[in-house]
Amino acid sequence: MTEVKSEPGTDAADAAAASFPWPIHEAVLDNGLRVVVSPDPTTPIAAVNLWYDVGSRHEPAGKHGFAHLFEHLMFEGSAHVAKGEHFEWVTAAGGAGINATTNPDRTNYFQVMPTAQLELALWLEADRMGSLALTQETLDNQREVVKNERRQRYDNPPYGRWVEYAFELAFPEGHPYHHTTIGSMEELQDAALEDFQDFNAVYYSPNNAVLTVAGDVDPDEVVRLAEKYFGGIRPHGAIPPAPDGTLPQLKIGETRRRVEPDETVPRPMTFFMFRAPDTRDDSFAAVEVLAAVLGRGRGSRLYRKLVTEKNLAQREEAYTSVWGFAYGASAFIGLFSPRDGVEAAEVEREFVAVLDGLADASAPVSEAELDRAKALLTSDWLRAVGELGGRADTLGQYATLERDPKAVREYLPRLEAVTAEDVQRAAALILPEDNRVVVEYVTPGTATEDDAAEEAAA
Amino acid sequence: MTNTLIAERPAGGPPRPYVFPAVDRTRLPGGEVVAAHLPGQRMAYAGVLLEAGVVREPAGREGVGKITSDLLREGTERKSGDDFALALESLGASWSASVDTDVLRVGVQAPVDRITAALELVAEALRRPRLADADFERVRGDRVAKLTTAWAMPGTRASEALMRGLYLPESRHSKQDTGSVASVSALTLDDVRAFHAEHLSVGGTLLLAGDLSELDIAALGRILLADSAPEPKPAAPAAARELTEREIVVVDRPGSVQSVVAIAHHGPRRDTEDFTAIEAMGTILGGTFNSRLNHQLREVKGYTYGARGGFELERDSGIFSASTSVHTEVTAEATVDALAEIERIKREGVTEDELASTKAYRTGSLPIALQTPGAVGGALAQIVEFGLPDDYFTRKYAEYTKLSKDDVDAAAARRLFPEHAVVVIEGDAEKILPGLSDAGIGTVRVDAEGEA
Repeated sequence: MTEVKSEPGTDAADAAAASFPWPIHEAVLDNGLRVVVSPDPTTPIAAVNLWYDVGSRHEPAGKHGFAHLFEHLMFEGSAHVAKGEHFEWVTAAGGAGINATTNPDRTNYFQVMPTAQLELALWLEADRMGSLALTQETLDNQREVVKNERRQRYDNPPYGRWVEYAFELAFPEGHPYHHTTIGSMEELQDAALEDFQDFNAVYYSPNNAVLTVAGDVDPDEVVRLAEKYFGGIRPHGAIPPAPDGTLPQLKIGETRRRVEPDETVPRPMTFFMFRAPDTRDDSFAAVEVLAAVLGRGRGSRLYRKLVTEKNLAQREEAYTSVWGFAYGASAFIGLFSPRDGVEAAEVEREFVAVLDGLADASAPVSEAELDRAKALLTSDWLRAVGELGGRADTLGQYATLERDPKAVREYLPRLEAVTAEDVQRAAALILPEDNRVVVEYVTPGTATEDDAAEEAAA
Repeated sequence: MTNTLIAERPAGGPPRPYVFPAVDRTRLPGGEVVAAHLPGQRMAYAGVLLEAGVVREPAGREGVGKITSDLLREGTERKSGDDFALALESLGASWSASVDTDVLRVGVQAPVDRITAALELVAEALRRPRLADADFERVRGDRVAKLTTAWAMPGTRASEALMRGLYLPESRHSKQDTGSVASVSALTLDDVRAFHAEHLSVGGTLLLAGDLSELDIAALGRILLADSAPEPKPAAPAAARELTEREIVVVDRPGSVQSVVAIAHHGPRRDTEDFTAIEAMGTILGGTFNSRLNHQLREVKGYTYGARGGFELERDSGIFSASTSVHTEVTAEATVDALAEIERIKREGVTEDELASTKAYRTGSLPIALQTPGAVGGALAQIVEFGLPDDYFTRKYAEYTKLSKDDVDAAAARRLFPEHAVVVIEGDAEKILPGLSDAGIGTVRVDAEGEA
């Protein structure tokens, strides 16, 4: 039996309505597939989005990179769809914005269709959920594609591997975020077809997924079509829990530094990673504000200190940012590249001094800084939900991670409620030196006097 | 346990014809306001399009346009750089600037109730920038550092060599859009002031996209275009280098684990009458995931994470280019395959299925691509830059509907020249030279003339 819950559209508070002024309908099919529909008749198009509750955090040791390689295999054909035809049919129907991504927490699949072709996208998504064709030939082909993706994004570009180094240092061995989503060439090489058959049977089940449709559609019709196409897919009995991301404490406990002498990088560059509260924590909105106050844009503290006032570092659009993760901790990121003739150590001292000013409240957050950060984040949000692809994905995110798509309405109210004290508390928690990873690329001409000591300690 | 699935693919219906928002034009002494109304949109875009593309940069001053546009954010006659940034960002506005071949565009996106205030800041920065010595020195240093970094990134050196292969040395097109380390290092603040005075201080076209119902368009126009502006002078011609044979050029990047393969030749100007047929053909060859290039190099061979190609047509020049990053070991094979795909479509044309799919894609995806104020602002910029009709994107639907296989086959036969292409391969020369020399695709030479 299909349960349809609709909400009254009139009693939403203003701020909640500003977050998400469109209706949200939710249904659950008998096989456990959750269906979220958000109608908006403005343009005759509809975004179709699936979130599977599986990401690289589910990968056991020895199988790093498998979730992402599996995502590639999802485009390689199913019972009624030949290899490559998913893209082909969507494109031939006038659809666009088609792709999939894998991150530590989840895997999402998406496309935007002309409304008259909504059913095609549902059929394609159902077919690969219910009957993925896994063959040695497509595995071998896509393994090579992924290896080239790794080369293109991580191994070949300068600084491409800093993210791997930082996650390894910031999260303990065995933690779901210790390894990156792209994984290891060697482990991918050893991947067998059975690994992906098992992965498919367990995680790509209707009861582990959220289907979101946003756009020019009728909610009852979407639920009827979801039932028609997905209703015959059997659920997996019990989805095994993901490895526990709980950390004994949020802080890393010390500063961990990796000095990377590299002749191939064009300039010295320093990256930071700090563990920060996860996206489900009440303080996460304050963490986002903190990143914007500190390092986002020309008007941020770090820009004004490092560039305008001291002229020590290259300009960056963002000196700090936060990569939100849902289970255990997020990653708060910092970076700089010293100006020619300036030592990295000097810039790092100034960089850290700016962080300390917030962390120890010696330079408290002003109302103007708070307003600037909130204004930037509000515009980000309006942009993201202002187009249907982003809107459907955001609903899928809230439905999967918060278990409630309507929590999407809480974004702007939560942001609005952040106070200077909240930001200061987040800074005091995240930024001190007992919670810091530093990855420092040094070029042959720029080695500093304390390199040797640091390398010995790393 | 078997799943019950629907075997039959739903046929669906044709996409509803797309209608581009109504365009409102308002003439002011300094130029025109071109506005598109997007009811219900909470964000808005406001930007200024100026005749200040890189073709306007004096010889030896390549990169001056980019530096000038960077310096606009570093303060005005009335505000320091920090104060200007705080004012803009406190509106939730995001600044964007681009310097293309023919035009320069600066603009903002902001919530619609703050777009007037944001545009006032754009006007202040554009018309009365501070252009101070210390800011100039810093910004120039940043640009030089960025160029140095970019030079180390895979692909930059390939593009540089490609443009040198396509245009004569005296042509602005033969040099990197961004300028070089040498040209940017040699710039002075006087160069910037002169470029600003001539190209940015008056005139332009104001582009607006958003919910205009609460906005006074003429008043917005007066913020920027109240003063009369002279007609811009014509730009220098593109000066293409004639290609009489295929040129295979290797750019050495020792230790590279991938090779960048880039193939290019000349194309017609943007106002060519077969533009739609060229666009469709380029889409089939290299414009989508299912394109022939991506299918062959990625899905069949597994050489790459992706391969693409297509035409970029400007006011006075045009190029076709195709590119991919491939595993070093398969460089020669991938180059041969990419050239073969270009030769095959030129010789055999496209299939009815490919054409039908591309027509549906190009028409159906128009409303998907043009959902946001930023995207509609970009569409308005194209309309203005190339003198297209206001309903160009509405007409595009009809143009695609009547496009025939003969049209597209003719475009492939007329517009592709794999036998006269410049082929640049940036990679580890020691490893890739033997294979390329044996591949039988042309004489290979190593190019070491590129400069950061």
